[in-house]
Amino acid sequence: MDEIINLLIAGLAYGSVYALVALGFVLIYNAVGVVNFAQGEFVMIPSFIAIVILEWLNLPSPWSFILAYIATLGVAAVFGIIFQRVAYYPLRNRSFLPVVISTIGASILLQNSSLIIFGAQPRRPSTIFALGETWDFGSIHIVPQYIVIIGATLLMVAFQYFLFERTTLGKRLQATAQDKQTARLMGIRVDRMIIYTFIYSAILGAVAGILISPLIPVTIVMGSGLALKAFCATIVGGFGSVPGAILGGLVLGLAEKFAARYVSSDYEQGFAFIILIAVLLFLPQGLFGEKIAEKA
Amino acid sequence: MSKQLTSVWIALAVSAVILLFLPAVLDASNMSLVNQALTYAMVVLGLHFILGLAGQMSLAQAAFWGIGAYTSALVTTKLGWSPWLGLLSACLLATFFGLIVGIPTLRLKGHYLAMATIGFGVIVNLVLSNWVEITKGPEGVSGLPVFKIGDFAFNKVSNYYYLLLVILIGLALAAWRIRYSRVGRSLLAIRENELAAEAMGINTTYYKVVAFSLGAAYAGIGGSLFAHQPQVLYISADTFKFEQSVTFLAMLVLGGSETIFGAVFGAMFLNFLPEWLRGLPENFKQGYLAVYGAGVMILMVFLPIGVVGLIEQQIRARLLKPRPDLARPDLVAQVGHPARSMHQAASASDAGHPLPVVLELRDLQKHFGGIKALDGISMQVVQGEIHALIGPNGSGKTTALNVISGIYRPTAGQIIFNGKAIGGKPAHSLTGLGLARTFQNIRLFPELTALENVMIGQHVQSRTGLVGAIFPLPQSLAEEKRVRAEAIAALEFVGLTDKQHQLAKNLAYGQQRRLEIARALAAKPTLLLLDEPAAGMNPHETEELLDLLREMRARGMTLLLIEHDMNLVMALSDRITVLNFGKEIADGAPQQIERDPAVIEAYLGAEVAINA
Repeated sequence: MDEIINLLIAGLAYGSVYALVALGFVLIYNAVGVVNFAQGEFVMIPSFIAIVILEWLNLPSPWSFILAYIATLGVAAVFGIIFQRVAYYPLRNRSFLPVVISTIGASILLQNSSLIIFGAQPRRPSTIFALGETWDFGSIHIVPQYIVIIGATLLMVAFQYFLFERTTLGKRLQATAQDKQTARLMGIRVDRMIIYTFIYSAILGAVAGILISPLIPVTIVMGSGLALKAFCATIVGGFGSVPGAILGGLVLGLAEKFAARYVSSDYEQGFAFIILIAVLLFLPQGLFGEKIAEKA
Repeated sequence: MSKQLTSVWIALAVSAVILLFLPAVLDASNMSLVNQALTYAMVVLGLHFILGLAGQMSLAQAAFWGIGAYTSALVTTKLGWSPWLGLLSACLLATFFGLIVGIPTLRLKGHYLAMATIGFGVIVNLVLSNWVEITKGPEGVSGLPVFKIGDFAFNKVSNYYYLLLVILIGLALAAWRIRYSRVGRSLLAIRENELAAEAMGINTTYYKVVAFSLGAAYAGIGGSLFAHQPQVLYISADTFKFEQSVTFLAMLVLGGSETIFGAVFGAMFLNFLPEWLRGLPENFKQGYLAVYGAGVMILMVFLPIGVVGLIEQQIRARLLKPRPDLARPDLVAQVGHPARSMHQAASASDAGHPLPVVLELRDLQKHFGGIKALDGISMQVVQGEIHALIGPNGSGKTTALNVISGIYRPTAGQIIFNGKAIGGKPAHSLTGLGLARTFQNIRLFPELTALENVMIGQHVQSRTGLVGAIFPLPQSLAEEKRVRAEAIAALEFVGLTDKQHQLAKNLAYGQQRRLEIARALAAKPTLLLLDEPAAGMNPHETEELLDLLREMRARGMTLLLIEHDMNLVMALSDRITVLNFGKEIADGAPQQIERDPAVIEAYLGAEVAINA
């Protein structure tokens, strides 16, 4: 029983991170119809940035954390703008394939530039909680970072709900996602909305990076691994669906942790894809699916 | 022959000489890079079927490559098979896995496929590194045998080069023959417009699986030959990673995803690039892949057809200009018009007998959620007539057409076509039964020539498969000739003979509409569905279209058309069915329909109807 609770919390924590990255995917896909294969770099780059800023500040905590994280989010926002401008904007009127290939190119470029800048050594950020620290309740050992992740994700989701459902900016973003032409006719600055979407997506990635980097080695490929699983999450949830992305992320995180414990830990990194292929086979529209048929 | 063609031949001859004497010029370390690049080129050539021709994204190429390499390595070291058998089993097993991955995922949209292929790559790599009993895990497999013919062993970099060259040329020739065959055209049709491909009778899922399996087969061959390189003879799991799939992609895109030379050029260039960057500082050397990434992005923006693609395009543009034999009237006369064979059938039934019904709808329904787009339609289309389906916007006309042509499944009711119930059958299976269609918003294959567009229309009238595509068998050659001749005849029928070598996207709007009709005619349909054929045409173009449609009727074809241009409908139709809110409200000759109060009410509102 206690083991199950431990696994449950770990699964929800990892699942939350997948959900955040998955949301970044879905928002960009809904806004511009492009699957951004460089979404993982939206996680990796801010993770390195946060480490660098933390090392550079070298203040007594907790101020250094607050400052570093805010600065990281700022950098992420700028990164989102640049990415939009370079990898998407020049190809905005082209078909699906060139844009996808361009984002794959962007992903390789960003990973290897990071290799040149940050080096190949895995890094670890200074953290609020000591490595290996747990809160113990009998035989339940809770890693505090897990609780931080789950809490922060809840906050992000609440913020996003408020943004999209309760503000006019959110309505404009949604209108842009649904029908650019009509949105433009209604006086919405569509190009600007698309930039905002990329910024928000980059911030989601940065939050995911800040949350996960105390738990996994920060390397240039950390993002692509997360992004692949986040993408699986979006398909499990139903591609293009916001609640689907969140739910899919959580389902995947839980499935991964339980399967690693009870099936095989060697293949922990493979379960997401087995679930993905199973969903594609038996439930191709996911839990909250998009319409696959094309209109004649 | 023109000067340009001579210079192309000279260029080819010079490159052949260079290729032949390459081992004499380069040292062993450079030669081993060349060899490696040749094995990569095979994998990239495989990707060219998937991405370049069929337009599908695959990032599993390194996985198939790895499956090939490991299969070959294991059967030769553990079972003691000869490398030739290893090569064969590598190709077969990779193809088998291509089928296993392709069949479930290729039904889905592009981004699913891309991600599913990445996932497959990750799983394959995990298995290779973790299944220690078989693959020896991270340790890898060593001590592979070299290829032998009799007593001659390919145990040197220089002689292995010739083996690779011969195999690569064979694979490239096969790829080239596939490209210009019925199979290649079907793949291109999928890339250009999947829905139109389906409407032309192409089973798009099947052909995507074909492309995917071809890609896997080539990758398997490349993997085996990579493993048996005389200076290596060792493989380990970390070679066959996702990053390598990306490298293959970069190689293909650099050369040009649609070109065969491009695949080889890209593989060569990117395999040597790290060597050339050797002088750079250590950090930069580690991150040399950044150059690939930037290169891919720049290419996508400025040169999406790739370096070799650009060169080929230039050569083709020069070569195609002076060719006086474009129109070949003798051929047209021989073959005759596509619809002529049906002419007799139609005139026979003019003798007062009741005309046979080609298409019958019985209480046809199509619901989208709670919306009843079609709420029980029954109608009959009589052979040899032009039957118009009209109605206000949103009355269900296009839905009806989409259900008849198999794009949507009917919710209820029956569709009887030439005595067969066809409701719910997939679109591609109907074309062969004699049902073809055009689309409201023109759906041509824009990057293919007018001639190729029409040749694709003949998909259901021809049978050549992969074997016939690769090997010049007499029947496939004869069929190709016939398909070409009949396509030219269909183009002549719609008056586009002189445009046959133009890309469809470069034709004028009215010409595109006529090309779409020619493409549909090429399938030799008994019933042709036309969705607003006159939409967007100017009066002159409409006039020409009217003549064309009348000519088709005169040749015995049955037409069912949706049209908003009432003048055209009244002037042309033998019978009209009027829909409103998914139900038919009138059916009859044009003169009856014009006076029908229900129709006037539907179009103009109740008041006008009463006053009239």
